[in-house]
Amino acid sequence: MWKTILPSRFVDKTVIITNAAGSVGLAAAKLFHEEGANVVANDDRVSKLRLLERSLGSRFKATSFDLTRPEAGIQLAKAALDEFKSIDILICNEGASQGRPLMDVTSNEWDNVIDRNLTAIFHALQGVYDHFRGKGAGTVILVSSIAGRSGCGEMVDYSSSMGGVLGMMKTVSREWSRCGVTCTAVCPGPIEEGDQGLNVKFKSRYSQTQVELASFRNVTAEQVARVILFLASDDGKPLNGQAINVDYGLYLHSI
Amino acid sequence: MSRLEGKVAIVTGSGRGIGKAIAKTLALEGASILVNDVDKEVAEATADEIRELNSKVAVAAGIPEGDVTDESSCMRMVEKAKRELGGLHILINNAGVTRDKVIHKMTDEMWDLVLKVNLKGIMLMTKAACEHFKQQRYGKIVNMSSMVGLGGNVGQINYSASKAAIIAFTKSVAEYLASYNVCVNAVAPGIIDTRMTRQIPVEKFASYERAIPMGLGTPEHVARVVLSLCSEDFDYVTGQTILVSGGLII
Repeated sequence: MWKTILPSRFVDKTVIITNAAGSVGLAAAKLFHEEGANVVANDDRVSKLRLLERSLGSRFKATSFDLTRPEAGIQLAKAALDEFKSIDILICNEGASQGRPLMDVTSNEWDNVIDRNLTAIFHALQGVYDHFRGKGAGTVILVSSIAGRSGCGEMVDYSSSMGGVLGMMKTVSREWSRCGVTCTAVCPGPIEEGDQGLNVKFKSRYSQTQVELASFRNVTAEQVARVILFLASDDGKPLNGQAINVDYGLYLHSI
Repeated sequence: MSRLEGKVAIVTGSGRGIGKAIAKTLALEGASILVNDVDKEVAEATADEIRELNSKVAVAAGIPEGDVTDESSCMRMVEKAKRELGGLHILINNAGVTRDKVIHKMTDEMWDLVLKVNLKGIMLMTKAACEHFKQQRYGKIVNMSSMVGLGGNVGQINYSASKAAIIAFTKSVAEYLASYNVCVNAVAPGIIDTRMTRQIPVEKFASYERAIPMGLGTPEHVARVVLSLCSEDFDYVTGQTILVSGGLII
């Protein structure tokens, strides 16, 4: 009798996903779970995660630590270790998107975006460090954006923070390589399930390329998540310090 | 040659190092300079040297007057340049700090300070000058990034995040201001002989020095690139990041 064999690249692996109620976070949580991983999904929009928890059953833990607070990274790692005894993969999917042009950004809005998109990742990294160093292995994947590579005039705060994510990714890839940890990033283009207002601003940045690119369309959250799974799998192991555009070629100018 | 005759420039963090070299290089080409630094003493010293070059100078130094993380100070600096020096054409966002530690030993204070001075400071200064540049349909903004913003560096997750963010910020503002004839570019220095890089442990510094094909960089190397970006030679170049590393990174 034929039996459907599901891919199972992540059996006995534990993955932490931050901002997990976002479109890419949710898609990644489902796919990792489907392939056998223990999933710790963190987001303050915890009701969305509880729904997922009910549909997935075991091997899933929803948490709601506010990672802009310094101690939250340690607390998140501890929650993962208490539940699953190990952490193998950290996915930071921060993406606060109050995207505004320069003159409209208030000081507080700026701080808020930097806190949520950069500082939160810093705390999450600090949380997993001891465990990764202890076992001499680990995979970190940060979700940036093509706006972090190309800039975007209509959303200076968001794109600056996403550029910052790429700087962090490269520093982690250098700093933690001695502990056997790799760090990479994905840079999605406009995401089908994402903020549509943001997508409009995003696309206006690349209007010329869109005209030329017959193949261009929005990427889906699941397509982005599948690239993340590749990077987290054994196949992605030799990639370190790299950012991969997932954008149907929209930002062709990045080298 | 007086490539910047009649132009007024604000150079943040120009009390020392690369900022000071930029201020003097622009002054030598005829620009009037607003010298800025949180350290009053070094700012005054730079101002004196620029006066000796027969250029007009104003000073915004100390705290809060010279603090680029204070939005109202940034606005006052722009007003001061216009009032005391007769306008504003060039903004060099150079002020920056380091607080180095490996990630697991870095404190939140170290993280926050570097992001605030290096990144938010640039945003606030640019925002303060932006409307004026738009109205006069002319402006040159040069932001100081770093080689580390392109490639990361052990012990500098805060600094590399801020410097990589500056590259994306530069591109974003360049896109926003291009139709107003305002050029926004970034310069990414490699290892330049300044007080900041001399904080690198001696052995590591020496190994960098050995690795640079063109030898250790000077603040003047960087300043001359900044001058070019501010000149009419670069009137049609915007959103770019120029690495100035003497062949260390190619």
